[in-house]
Amino acid sequence: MNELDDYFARARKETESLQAPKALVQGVLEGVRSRAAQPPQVFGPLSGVGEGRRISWRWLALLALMAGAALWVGVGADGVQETPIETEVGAEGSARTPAQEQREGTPRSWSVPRALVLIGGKAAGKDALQPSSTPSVPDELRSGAVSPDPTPAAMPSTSAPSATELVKPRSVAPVEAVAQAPMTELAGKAAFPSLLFARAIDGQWLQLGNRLVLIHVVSTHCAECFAGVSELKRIAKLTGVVIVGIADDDSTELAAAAKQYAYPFPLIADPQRRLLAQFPEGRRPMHVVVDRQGFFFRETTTSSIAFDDIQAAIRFADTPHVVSRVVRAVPLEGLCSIEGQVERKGDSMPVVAATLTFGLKGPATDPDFSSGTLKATTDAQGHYVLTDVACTTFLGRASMPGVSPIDFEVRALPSGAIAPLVVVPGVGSVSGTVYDAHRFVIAGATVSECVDSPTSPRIETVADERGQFTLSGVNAGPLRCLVATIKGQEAVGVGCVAVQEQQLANVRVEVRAAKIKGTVTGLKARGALFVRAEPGWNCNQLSPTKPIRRDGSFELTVFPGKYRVGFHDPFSRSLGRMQTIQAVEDRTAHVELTDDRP
Amino acid sequence: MSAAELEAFEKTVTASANRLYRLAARLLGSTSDAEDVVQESYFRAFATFRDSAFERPENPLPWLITVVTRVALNTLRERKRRSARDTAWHQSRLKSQQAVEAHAQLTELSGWLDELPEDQRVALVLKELEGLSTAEIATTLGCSVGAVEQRIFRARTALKRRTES
Repeated sequence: MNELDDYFARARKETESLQAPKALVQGVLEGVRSRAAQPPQVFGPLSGVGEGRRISWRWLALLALMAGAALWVGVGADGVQETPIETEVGAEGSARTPAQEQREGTPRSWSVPRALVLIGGKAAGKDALQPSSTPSVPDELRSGAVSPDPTPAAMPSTSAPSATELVKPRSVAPVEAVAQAPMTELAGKAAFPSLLFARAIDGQWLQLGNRLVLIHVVSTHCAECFAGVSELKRIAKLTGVVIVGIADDDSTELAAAAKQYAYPFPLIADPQRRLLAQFPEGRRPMHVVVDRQGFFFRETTTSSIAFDDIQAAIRFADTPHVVSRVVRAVPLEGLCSIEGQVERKGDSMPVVAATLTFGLKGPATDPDFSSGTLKATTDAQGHYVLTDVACTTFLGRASMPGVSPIDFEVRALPSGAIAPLVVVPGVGSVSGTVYDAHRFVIAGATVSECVDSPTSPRIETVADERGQFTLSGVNAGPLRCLVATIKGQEAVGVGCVAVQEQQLANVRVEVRAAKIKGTVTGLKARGALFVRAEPGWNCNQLSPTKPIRRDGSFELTVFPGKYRVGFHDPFSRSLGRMQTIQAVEDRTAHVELTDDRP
Repeated sequence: MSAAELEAFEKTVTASANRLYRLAARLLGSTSDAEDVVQESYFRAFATFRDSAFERPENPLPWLITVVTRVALNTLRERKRRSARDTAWHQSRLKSQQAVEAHAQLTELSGWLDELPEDQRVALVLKELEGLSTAEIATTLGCSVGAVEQRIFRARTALKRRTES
């Protein structure tokens, strides 16, 4: 058991340096101060600690009972006992008191069903009482050219939000700004707020804001609309998307159709076409993906459900780093195309002459794109086009001088292609000096930014006779590491610093060395084998690879730190089972590897 | 709640944040999850102080450790239902070389402990990394000393079997 004890002692020592971020402590203190002003909760703590745990479960059970009773009363009061309710927006009651509104500043955008208000209490109604999204409205509503939907006459009470209350500035650039020819009519438009807070025919309130939603536009007269339910279930299971059906039929007819076809998702009846007005007419079924910001991402209008198409759209709509997309249909027989844009973060200026390399995604993925033959270059507007490619998923890499490569995934589809907008981060500069372990400056060292693979483009410079250097074009970030390599020497230097856009950071790069020695037992004489050490963090320059000697022994010089060491077969391009080892400065760590290949 | 009580709680937060953060990070193997757990724990603890007739302990640290441990236990159970975690995001928040090494250690530790059941994992971390006694762990987890010893023994046996294989 000594090995385990040693491991835990080491883990304890190395994690001892962890400190709570200042922002966390500050956030807690601010939260505590704001909570101190709130009145005590009636039901006592729900802390789940000590005695509180048993009490909390009792209270939770009681709350659940109250919620059920209140919901039953609330639904009954709204008069939906037998006939399903048609589409409605908003409801009576407000979750916040005027005093709360005054304290919290901004007014609520949404009102909530009376049934939920009846429950009361922060714990029980927390999710229901919080507005689940940042509601957005189309530009037409902001300008006042179109009256808000639904009309005030259709509202159940006067507490429904007005158009001005619903207006929130959108945080992302509109798709129209970057897409010259969007493929779909709806892409980039904001969904009606009433669509994201509608009532289903079973009386259930649908809070679809801040969620990834697939709107399934159907009709009771269209039998094939309901034919792909099993596919939709599969999509929901795989992607976690919320699926909601909507039709312009009467709610009674719709309920009958749902029963007949065993339709498992909530259905919204919109006989007056208040919500459906924003969808193209005459295309049923239609599948519309709405992203978490409440904007339509893409719609498909094929009669049969294009599973891959919808799933790809959902996946890209849910990719957090994608702030906008370029979508264009290039119908080709048996082939697809990919089209996209690269722009700079912040000012959205197009990036010219960026190289886009694409590799196939799958078991044979080449992580370094070294065998990638599909290439495209951005034009003066930052656009790129790649035509006549296989209709499958590609891994893309955008490379440009002075910036670390940016990877993304793109699915080329028979009906066209979807490419995420590649956003290039801002850059700064780093200056510093290269020292050795005895604090003597080292002249002539090559200094470069850490990159994650040997083929990644990297910026580098050479230190002058005083060991000083300035490296421009380093990606901005809280931790950027530079590596100094010295010709003819195995030892390398490392220095890390926070880099801000358009600013100069200073760093001290120190050359340090540790040895890793070992042997590989059971070595099979099948060509030259190498041993490779990978550091605990992403920096390819710190991953030395050396050939294994005939007797199976090897020796590596590394920067001190934790490494995973394993033997590497260049023919099968695979690493053997790796072992973790701590390399300490000026010492030699020993490791034993086994060639257990068949 | 009086101003003096609020000030006392704030002092407790400042004094205990690092210890609790470290505990949560070791339990979860992730600094990002640790931040969430620590924040949630403080808010729960404060709500208990404010709303109940809970007698304020002279030294609230052991009690806060209990809160963090239990919130972390819940997070571990939830995590099993979640898919892959975004480790790249964690790395972007690291601020120093030391933090990089600590993060690498946490990732490795998490890889080791992920296969253990949550209760065994928590008991083992409290014992081996936090240095709590078996009796203290029993109080924290709300179980008997025998149960704690059994969990630790099983966890160590499983890890030993893994190293041997």
